[in-house]
This record gives sequence, structure tokens and C-alpha cells, in this order.
Amino acid sequence: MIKIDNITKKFKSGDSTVKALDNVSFSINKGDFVSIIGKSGSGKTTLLALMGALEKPTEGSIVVDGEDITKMSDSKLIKYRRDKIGFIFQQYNLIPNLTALENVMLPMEFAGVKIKDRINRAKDLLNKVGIDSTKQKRKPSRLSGGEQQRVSIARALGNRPSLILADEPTGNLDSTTGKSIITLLNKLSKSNNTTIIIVTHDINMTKYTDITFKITDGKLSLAKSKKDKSVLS
Amino acid sequence: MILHGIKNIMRNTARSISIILILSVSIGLALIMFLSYKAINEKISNIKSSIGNTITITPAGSQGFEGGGNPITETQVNEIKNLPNIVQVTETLLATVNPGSENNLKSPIKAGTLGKRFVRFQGYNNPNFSPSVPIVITGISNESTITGEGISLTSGKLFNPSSNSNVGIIGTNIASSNNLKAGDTFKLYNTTITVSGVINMGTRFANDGIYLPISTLQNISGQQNDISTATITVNSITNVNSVISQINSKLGSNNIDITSSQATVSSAIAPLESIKNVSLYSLIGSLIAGSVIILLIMIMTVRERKKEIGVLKAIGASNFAITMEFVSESLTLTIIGAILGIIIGILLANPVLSTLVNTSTNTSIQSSFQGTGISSRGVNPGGPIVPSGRRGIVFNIGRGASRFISSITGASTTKILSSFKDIHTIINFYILLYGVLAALIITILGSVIPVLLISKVSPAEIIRGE
Repeated sequence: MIKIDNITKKFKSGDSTVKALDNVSFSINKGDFVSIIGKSGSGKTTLLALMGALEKPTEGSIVVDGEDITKMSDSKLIKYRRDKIGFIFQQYNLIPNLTALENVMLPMEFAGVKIKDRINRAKDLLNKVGIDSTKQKRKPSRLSGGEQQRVSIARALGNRPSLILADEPTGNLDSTTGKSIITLLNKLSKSNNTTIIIVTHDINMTKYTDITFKITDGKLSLAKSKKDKSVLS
Repeated sequence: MILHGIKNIMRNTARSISIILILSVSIGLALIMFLSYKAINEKISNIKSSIGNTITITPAGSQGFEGGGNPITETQVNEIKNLPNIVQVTETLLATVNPGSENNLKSPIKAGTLGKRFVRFQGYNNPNFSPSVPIVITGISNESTITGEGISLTSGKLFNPSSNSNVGIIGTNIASSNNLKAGDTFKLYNTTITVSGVINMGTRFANDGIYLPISTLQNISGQQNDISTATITVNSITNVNSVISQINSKLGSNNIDITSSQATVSSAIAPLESIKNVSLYSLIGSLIAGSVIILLIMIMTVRERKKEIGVLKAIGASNFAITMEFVSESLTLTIIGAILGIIIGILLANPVLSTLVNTSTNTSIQSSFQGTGISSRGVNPGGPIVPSGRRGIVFNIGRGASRFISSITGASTTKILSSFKDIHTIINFYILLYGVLAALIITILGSVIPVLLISKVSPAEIIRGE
């Protein structure tokens, strides 16, 4: 489903070049719940950005559902991000002047879904992540951190993506709330057969995921695999 | 996304309100200046085609009954009638008769000191001699000579100036001194002339005269084919010089004298031309100001929402969709500004225009007229005379001594001055279109750079900040 082949990402930092990712390769299957752990600056967020087509690698290829996203045109990348990827961020990144419901509807609006269908699906998703109809009408500033993150999960699911990329999804939450968020993600992964990749520095997260990669100074290694499906090539 | 853009206005109400206020002032100013520009432009072309656009042709060396040389002829006038830019040619023929000679008329005026003085110039040195004042007869080819402001027919009707029938219009003074009214007849050159109407020409001198169709006067006075003055109306003051040079080359500058008040009127409308330019620059300036406001606000907003733009891109928004959101936001601000601006424009266009016109023309008009000395010209004996075909008036003593007094240039002075006062903008439905147009120009000009900025925001923006 996802095959990452010899990815290298270099950044220019002043006069010198920093290798954020060094020859990373792995592949995972549909429905896998994957965590990538590493310290800050290890390159884990860069890897996430590359998979989400927010940036392009310096070298290597990323094949998602049979298509190499590193070779896509800009307009195809917009569609890729819109239809195939759901993002969940540590800062939630909800649009502040839109209500929870409107935030969830947004990616569907970009995809051209009819307004009636958008509203129904958004309500449905919000109910599923545990945001009731009163809170659906609230703006993000009037929701707690955990609730905001639930809204952002619902937003990520809007266009039925095949891959959900979560960057430190529990980073700003207390441990109980964080736990409930990760449980929710786990449940979604199982029920929808959606691939979820979580990037985190929190080692506790790894006990919920099927596969765990560890990233150190831009190099990736397999830390754990429940299913034993994944291969480090 | 358009709805989101409109909603975004509520994110910072204080800022939005101040932007709207500034924009409304800028659009209102643009509108006022645009309307003023149009009104002034129209006024200028009006003035150009109605005042100072006449050329008067007189025989070379002759003016009224003074000087010598040969009269100009119908044949000459026909040669120039069809030159380009000429709207109308009006011909007049002057003649004088001594009361009682070949006629049964009494002069309505006594010679007085002036009359005696004129006679003395002619060699009559007896101070006790009291001459009778001759009667001036004007042959006209066009009604315009005896119609217009300040002229009124007190009884009867106008004749057809192109006919050669024996009819005439007489001034009110000559009518009362001879007991004549419409329908009566009198003798002139031993010919019976029927009074078709009595006219008040507005001046004592002109009311002492008789007006006949030019062909009739040519026939009865034995001046076949002769013309004293031809007044040529040109379509615009700007073409006067070219028409003059064409006439000169057709008829030969040795055969005719040409006068026009074009230079004077041009300098009189010069202040209006400069206000026109001022309003044009202000129009452009206020549109640029509005655009710069939108530009700065949009750049500020794009910078402020850089991360949000990144998020939108990450969740699948195209550059176009995001651009639409920002453009609709600024367009909404501008349209609200435009509505207020239109109201400001409607309320203030006329007061601002009249202030502009009055303050900057009052002094310059006066100085321009004093400089050319229009009003003194007509009465200055021996000085250059500005004659008029419309109301050319001749005073004649003895064998042709005359003073040609013109009133037309004086009239054009007041006409221009008063037309400056009554300049006003036209406010109609189109003002809405102009307001919206201003809003669109401002938004488009102000949006180009921010749109480029939006497209440059990388979706990776969202992970960099963390």
C-alpha cells in the first residue's frame, strides 16, 4: 500500500547541508496502525511531511496505492492531499472562525461534495468521534484540547482517505485525554481498515500500534511488529 | 470559499470597519473626482462649441461705415461656405439713409454732443449746425442676428430672412417715433416695406434700426451681391485657427479682415481645463490610494494567516480556492466601502465641484479678461474693433463716419462666467456602476501581489512552526 524507497531529504542550514532523512526505506499495508518514534530533530516530522506530499524528497520514491507521489504535478498533489490523506496535527490547526461542523465540512467542500451531503457526513463523523450536536456549533476556541483534536480527527476522515498522518496527536493533551484519542484512532483504523501513521516522541503510544519504527538522526529502524507484516527493505 | 471569505470580515471587526471607512472615503473621492471631471469636460466642450467659436470677415480696410476698399461678395462667401468644421455662415449688409430722403421716416434720436462731434470730424465746423441722425438698416441672412438672449419681439412676427420680399422688422424706438406697428407700411429707397414685427434688441442704438432680409436690402439699396460682414460659426473653438487660415488661403488675406475672440475665450476657459486635470489626477490618486490600502491589508492578512493557508493547502485546498477566499474578503470590504462611497459621492459631488470651480476660477477669469481688454475694445475709437455679426450695430453721421460698437465679446464674458457658476455634476443610475467599477479596480489592483504571496505559501508551513 505504501512503499518508501531510499528516501533522502537534505535541508540547507546556513552554509552547511543537513540530512534530515538518510536513505529511509519501508513498506506498510492497508489498515496498518503504525507509529514512528523519535526525539525532536530526528527527522520524524520530515518523514510525515514527505508522505503527506507537503514537501518533496531530495532523493528516492514514495509509492502510495501504486502511484509515485514524488513525480506528481502540483495540481495532482492537491488532489492527492485532498482525497488520499487525512492530517492530524499536534496544534489541531482548526480554522478559528469556523464552527466544529464547518471545519469538518471544509475538505469535503474542496472535493466538491454537495452541501447537504457535507453537513450530513460531517455531523455523522463528529458524532462518531464523540462531539455532540451542541458542541458541533461551537468555534474551536470554545472547545477543550481533546475536543478540538476529536474535531480534527473527524476533519481528517471527511473524504475517506486511505492514509491518516498524525503528527504528535496527543502532544498537547493530558495523559487520560491522550489515551482516549489514541484509542479512538486505533478503533477507526480497525473499523474502516484505514492506514494510520502516528509520529510521536511518546514511547507509551507504541503499545497501541501494530508496527513501530524508530528514527534516529534520520535513519529508520523497525522497533516492533505485532503483525509481522511489515518489511524493512 | 467565497462565503468563508465574507465571514472572515467578522474576525477582526474593528479593523474591518476602519478599512471600510478609509475605502469609502477613497471611493467617494474617486467618484466625486470622476463626476467633476465629466461635468467639467462637458462644460468645456459646450463652451468651446458655443462661445468664441465665431469668425468675423469684413472687407479689408473697412469696418462698418469706416475705411475704404471693396465690399466682400456673395460669390466669395460661397467659396468658403463648404470648408470643413464650419457650422453656419451668417451674412449681414449695412446701409444708412438720411431721414426723409427716398423715405418717409423720422430719426428716433437727436444728434446731441456726440452726433455734432462726429459731424465735426467730417468737416462741418459750424457749432450751431444740428444734423439729423441717419437711420441704420441691417440686411440679415439668418434669424440668429435678431434672436437670442436679451432680444424680444414685442409685436408681429419674424420674416423669412432668406426671402426677398419687402418686409422688415423695426426697432422699438423707430416704431414709436414714426407711429409704426406690425402690418403698417413705410417707404425706404422709394420702396414700400411692410412692418412684419417690432423688436426690442436690448440697446437704445439697436432699437433705432431697421432689419430687412439681406436680398431685399441688396435689391432696394442697389448693393447687389454685396456683404458687409460674414460671421462664421465653427464647430469648436479648437478649430478656429485652422478655419481662419483656410479662409485666408481661399480669399486672400489682402482682400478681407478676419477677427475672432478665440484667444480670449481660450484663456478664459484655461482655469477650467486645469481643474479638469486636477480632478483627473485626484481620481487616479484616490483609486491608487484605495488599492494600496487593500494591498497592505491583504498582505498583512496573508502573513497573519500564513499557517492557516498552509493548513488549507494540506487538507486539499487549491491555490485558486484560497485566493477566492481572500479576494472575496477584500471585495466585500470594498463593496461595502463603495456603497458608503457612493453615498458620499452623491452628497458631496456638487458642493465639491462648485467649490473647486469657484475658488480657482474667480481670480484667474478676471485677470484673463483684463489682460486682453475685451470690454474696452469695442468703444475704443481707432483701436482694433471686435465686430459681431449677431448684433453688429453701426452709428453713422454724414458720409459714412461710424463707430462700430460690439457687444458680443462682452456678452461672452458674462456667458462664460455665469456658465462656470452653473456647472454641476449629473447624478444618475450610472453612479452605482461607477462606484462598483471603482471597487473592482481597487480590488483587482490591490489583490495581485497578495495572490502571488498566497501561491508561494508552502503547505509544509504548518509543520515548520512546531
